[in-house]
Parts: sequence; structure tokens; C-alpha cells
Amino acid sequence: MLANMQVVNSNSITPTFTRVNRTTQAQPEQVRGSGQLERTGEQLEQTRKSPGQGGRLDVNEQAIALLEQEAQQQGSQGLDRQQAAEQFLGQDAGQASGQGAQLQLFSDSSENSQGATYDRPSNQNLSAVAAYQSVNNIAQRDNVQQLFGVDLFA
Amino acid sequence: MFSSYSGLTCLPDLSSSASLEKKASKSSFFRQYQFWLFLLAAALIRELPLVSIPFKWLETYFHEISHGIAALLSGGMIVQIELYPNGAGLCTTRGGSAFLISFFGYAGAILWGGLIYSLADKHQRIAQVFSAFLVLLLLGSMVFWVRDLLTFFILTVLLVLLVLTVKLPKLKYLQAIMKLIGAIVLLNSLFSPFYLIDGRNIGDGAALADLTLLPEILWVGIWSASALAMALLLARKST
Repeated sequence: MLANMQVVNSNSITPTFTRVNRTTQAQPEQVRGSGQLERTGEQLEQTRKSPGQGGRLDVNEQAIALLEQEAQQQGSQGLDRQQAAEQFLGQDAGQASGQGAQLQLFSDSSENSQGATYDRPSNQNLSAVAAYQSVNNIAQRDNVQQLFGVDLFA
Repeated sequence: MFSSYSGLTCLPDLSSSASLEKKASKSSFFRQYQFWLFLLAAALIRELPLVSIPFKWLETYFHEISHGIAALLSGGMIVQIELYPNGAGLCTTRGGSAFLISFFGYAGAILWGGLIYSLADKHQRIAQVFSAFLVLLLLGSMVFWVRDLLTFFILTVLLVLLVLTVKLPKLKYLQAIMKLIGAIVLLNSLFSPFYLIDGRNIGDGAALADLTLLPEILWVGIWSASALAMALLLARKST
């Protein structure tokens, strides 16, 4: 746990806070995060007692809690989006996992586009992602053809 | 009195002969340009929002079944045929010649269009027999190669429409509708290859380009030229 916290550097914390502040659901997330704060506090005390590492742990506990909370959210959102990607593409999990990240790009842009338009991807970017997806689909189609020994003709 | 009598007897003859001539000239005009008139009607129907949908499905069906028939003829088998409401389709095959299967999607649609029109043009009874054959082909496709509900629904709609056409009270209507179907399929097969020119490396043209190292545009040109040649051939035959 501590190793994870040390690996995640400050660069990754900054956009995390930005995102929490931007969304309107920040308050309930913070309320839910209060329990985690206590837990992380206990863990920090335990690690302080361990030799060799106690002197360096003057980190912001709230930041750690928010970081954990964000990581959990991203994990659950990633799963949800992966499931959505599977349903949308009608493909098996192995294939959909490759496209999960691409579909996240689309869903993020569509969610944010309701509230803010300044960070909406440009048409050029959208077409670039679509083109990339089509290439990926061709590759997947080739995989399916090789896997099942069938040919698809549109 | 006599002259008036003779006049009375002559007048109806003159008028009837004039109307007969008029009818004959109308008939000869229709006969001469009937293929182009059917093609014009097909072009209009293609632009109608709802009416064009079943014809689009029919054209897609002929495209996909042509892939399948090419697979069967080249030693392969059809695994599944899928049709989508937007006019897209997919034929899954196993084995056979990839070149023939890829090529005969569009080429087969051209042949189907030409065959339907020319057979319907020959005789009303031939049109009836051929439409019954198409009903059987649709039924066979539904039984053997359709695995999803959407395709089943689309083919059911086509089947019902064809059965209604076969059951028309007068054979001349059936003949006209079959000619119209042939013209629409042919017209679609003339224009649909151009959809392949989209900058993406997908579709039958891309598959053929991969197989033969000849550019996709060449295959699009071959298909469109074939459809045009078929149209000109039918126009010449029908005059």
C-alpha cells in the first residue's frame, strides 16, 4: 500500500484533484472518503512504527484518501466501460479489453460535453479515433477469421 | 340519304383505325423504351423514404447470397447470412475460393438484376415461375443460413412481399413488378460499388485488392462497368 503511494508521484495527483473539483459530485465522494481517511491514518501510523521508513511520511492524508478513492472509482469505471464496450461491440472479453481505452475516450467526451464544451475533442480527433478503431476492428476480424476458420464478406 | 348512310358507316371505321394507330404508337413507344422507363421508375423508388427500404434489403440479399453461391460453387459452404435494416449485410463462409467469393458479391447482384428483368420480359408465365423460385430461395436461406432474429424478420418481410406479388390476380402486374425489381437490383448494383471508395481499407474491393494487388478502384470500375453493360444489353434486347 505504501509502495503504491510512493510510486504515484505528484504529477498524477494534480489532475485528480482538478477532476474532483470540476464534477458536481465531489461532496458525496468526500463524505464517502472520510472512512477511508481513518483507515489510511491507521496504516500510516503502523508504517511509522516500522523501522527505516518512519521519517519520510509527512504526506497529506486527505490527498492520499482522495487518491485511493479516485483509483477505486477509475477501477470500477474501467470495469463498467469495459462491460459496455463488450456489449456495444458484441465481442468477447479478450477483444473488448483492447478497445476499452478507446471507448473511454468517447464516453469521457460525451459526458463532459453536456457540461462543458471547451474540452470536447475536435472532429479531427474523433475521426482519427474512429479510423484507428476501424483498423483495429479489421485486425479483430482477421483474428476471428483465423480463430474460427471462416471468411466474412460484407 | 345514301351518302349519309355511307358516311355513317365510314366514320366509325375511320375513328377506330385512328385510335388503334394511336394505341399502337403508344404501345410501340412503351415497348421501345420500356427498359429505360423501368430504370427511371427504379431511380425514383430508390429515393422514396419508406418504399425503398424493402428493395434495398432485396438488393443486399442478392449481394450476400451471391457471395454464398460463389462459396458453394467453389467448394466452400455458407455458415451464416446476416442482413441489417440499414441495408448492410454479411455473409460468413468457410472454404472456397476467396477471390470468387469476394468478386461475386457485386457481380452476382448484377447477374440477378439482369436475370430477373430478362426472364420477366420473356413471358408472363416465366415471370411467375421465377418469382416462385425466388420465394423458395428465400425460404431455403431462412432455414439453412439465417441464425439471428433481425435477418429472419427482414427476410420474412421480403418473403411476404414476394408471395403477394406471386398471388396477384393478373400476370401482367406480376410481370411488371418483377421487371421493376430487376431494374432496381441492377441500378443498385451500378451505384453501390462506389460506396467502397471511402478511404478505408474494408469491403469486397479491399479484399480483392489484398488478394490480387490490383487497386480497389479498379474493382469498383469493373463492377460498375459490368452493371452498365448489363443495362445496355437489356435495353437493346427489350426494344
